[in-house]
Amino acid sequence: MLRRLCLVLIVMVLALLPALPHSPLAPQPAQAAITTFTSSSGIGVGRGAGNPYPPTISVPSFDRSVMHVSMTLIGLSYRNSLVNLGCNWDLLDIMLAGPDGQRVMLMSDVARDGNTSDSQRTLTFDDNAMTGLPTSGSFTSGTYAPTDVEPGELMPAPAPAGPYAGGLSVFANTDSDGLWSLYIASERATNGCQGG
Amino acid sequence: MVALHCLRTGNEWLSGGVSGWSLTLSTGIQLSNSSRIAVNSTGVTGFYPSISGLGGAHGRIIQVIATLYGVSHARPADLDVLLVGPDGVGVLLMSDAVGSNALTDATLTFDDSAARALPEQQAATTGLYRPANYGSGVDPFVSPAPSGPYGASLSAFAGRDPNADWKLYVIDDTNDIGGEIARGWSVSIILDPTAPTTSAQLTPTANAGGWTNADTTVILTVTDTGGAGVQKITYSAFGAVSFASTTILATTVPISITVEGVTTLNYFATDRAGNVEATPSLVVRLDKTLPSATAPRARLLAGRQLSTSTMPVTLQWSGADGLSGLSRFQLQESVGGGAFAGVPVSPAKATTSTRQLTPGTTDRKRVRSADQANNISAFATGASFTPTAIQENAASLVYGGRWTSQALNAAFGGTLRFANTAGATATVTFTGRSIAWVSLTAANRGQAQVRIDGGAPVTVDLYTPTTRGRWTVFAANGLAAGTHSMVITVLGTKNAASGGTRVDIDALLFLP
Repeated sequence: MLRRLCLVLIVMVLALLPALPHSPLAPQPAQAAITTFTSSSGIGVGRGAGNPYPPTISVPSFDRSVMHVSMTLIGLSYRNSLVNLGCNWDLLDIMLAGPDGQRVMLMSDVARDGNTSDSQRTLTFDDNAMTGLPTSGSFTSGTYAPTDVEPGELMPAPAPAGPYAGGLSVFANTDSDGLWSLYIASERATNGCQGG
Repeated sequence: MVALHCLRTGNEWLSGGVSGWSLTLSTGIQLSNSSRIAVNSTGVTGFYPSISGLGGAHGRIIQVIATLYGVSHARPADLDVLLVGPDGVGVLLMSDAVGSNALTDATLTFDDSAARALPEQQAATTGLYRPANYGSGVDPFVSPAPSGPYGASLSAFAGRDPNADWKLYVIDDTNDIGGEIARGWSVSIILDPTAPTTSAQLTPTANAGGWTNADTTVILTVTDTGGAGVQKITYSAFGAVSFASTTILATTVPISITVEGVTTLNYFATDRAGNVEATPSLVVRLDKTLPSATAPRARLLAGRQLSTSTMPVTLQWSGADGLSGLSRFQLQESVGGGAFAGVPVSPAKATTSTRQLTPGTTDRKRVRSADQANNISAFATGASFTPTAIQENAASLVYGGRWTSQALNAAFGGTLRFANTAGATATVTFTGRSIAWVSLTAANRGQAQVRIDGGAPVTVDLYTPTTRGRWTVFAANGLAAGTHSMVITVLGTKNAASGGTRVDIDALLFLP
């Protein structure tokens, strides 16, 4: 009789369970913030790897994991200074590597820009952006999703080998403490230099 | 931009780079509840609400991102999903959205900064969306869900304390088709734990004592490093300038202080997350009024020593400042009609200075004062004067009784005259307002009596343990303009410690 009563009680509890509020998780002491780390040191790009390669930004330890990362290139330019045909963005590969080993291709094989009067762009890469960089036509300074038009290309050594992720979300919930490295290189290093 | 390294080949010279780069990292709290939420065809779902709790977090909410994992429903328009956070604030993540376009194991992330809202009739897949509430009817959430209206964006949580149970209420408002949120949900919360800070800059800057001497502008500038951004500045003042608490929506504000005196400014900033700065204060001390100074007066004082060719003249002046107080005097002198030149005053607020002047040379002195705010008065210039000195053997000095002349290196001019016998006198008639008797003091010197214009006698004791030559042993100042007489009478008495009764006359000094 006692075993039967217990079984009934268990069934009643199970029947009620879906309608009960779910138990709270343990309290999570934390603090959080949005922090921007800026390097005002320039990076030059001719053929092949940029200089320096890679520049780094040191990020201190946070008491919480990184939830969201965005990255900004200030005053990006790349053009043939002998024949002004616009900006040769299509030759640039730009990859960001975090201290935990995650890496994302921010920009590769995007549109060559025929705008001959405006050679500089400030580009913010953010997964929340509405669009990526275009594969044809021009684009302006603004916020774009990382854009790797032909995935699989590798950055020159000593950049870490691929594959490279296509979104900055690869850094979510990683340890941000350490050096973040930016690899900028021109594809001309391997393709050789041809006219215009 | 750094120097470029590029190689020229054919008609191509590629160059470029960036002038800088930055990383923006958002760190936060992620609450999750991975339990499956069954969406019953009969309205209220299982786990109503589904709860995830948070405690001990420090800071105010800047941003909330919510994610539903594994959403499946044949007709998503039936789904109403309500997220309730601190203070019972509810935000509809989705209601009557996506029409009849089935969702299959979709992970829907809701973020106010997403590029698109969850569509009303178009299909949706796993992705990032802004919350969307379509349809004009009231969504039939039942207790314990809070009653509406509900927020349309996750910004409704901004500025609130995140420490609470976060609850997800899911209902199916058509009651014919079921579904599920297979792997639960999460809320990512970005907090601003840091109150803004306000700096105050004075123009003109205050000096080391905290004073300014011109109309002053205090510029309050707020910075917020916590991520939320500055919302407002609140400030008030009391003292010389007084106004009630004022709040403006800005990151900087100029405050003009033009009334002299001490004003205390209190101010604090608030950021958009509701973090409030502890109230700093700034004391502004403004003194625009010049201090005053009186022209220096020349006097002869006893107890001063002559050099072999100059005589000590003491200058006295005064000054005043009614607000910040005096900080220093500047004394200048013109000798022989020359240009004024600075004379050290030590300590800086001293009102007297003794100068060694050359007898027979015209002098003029002037002084000005500065206050703590560095306001500086005009010079107050005294009248020109010529100090004079006569030796003991001058014709204007008439002796009575027995006096003896003596050559002595320590004497002014190398000679002096002395007497030991009571009743011996020396009388001088002079024109001027100050006179001093120069003598020699030593361990064997005696006492004398001095009368000015036959007035009350003053006894002068020439005993000192060590010898001091060219020493002013008596002085009188403030005499009426005109002719006066002074009589020195040897008393024949001595200090008990003295070995003799000798009295010396070395010289007499005069000021007009």
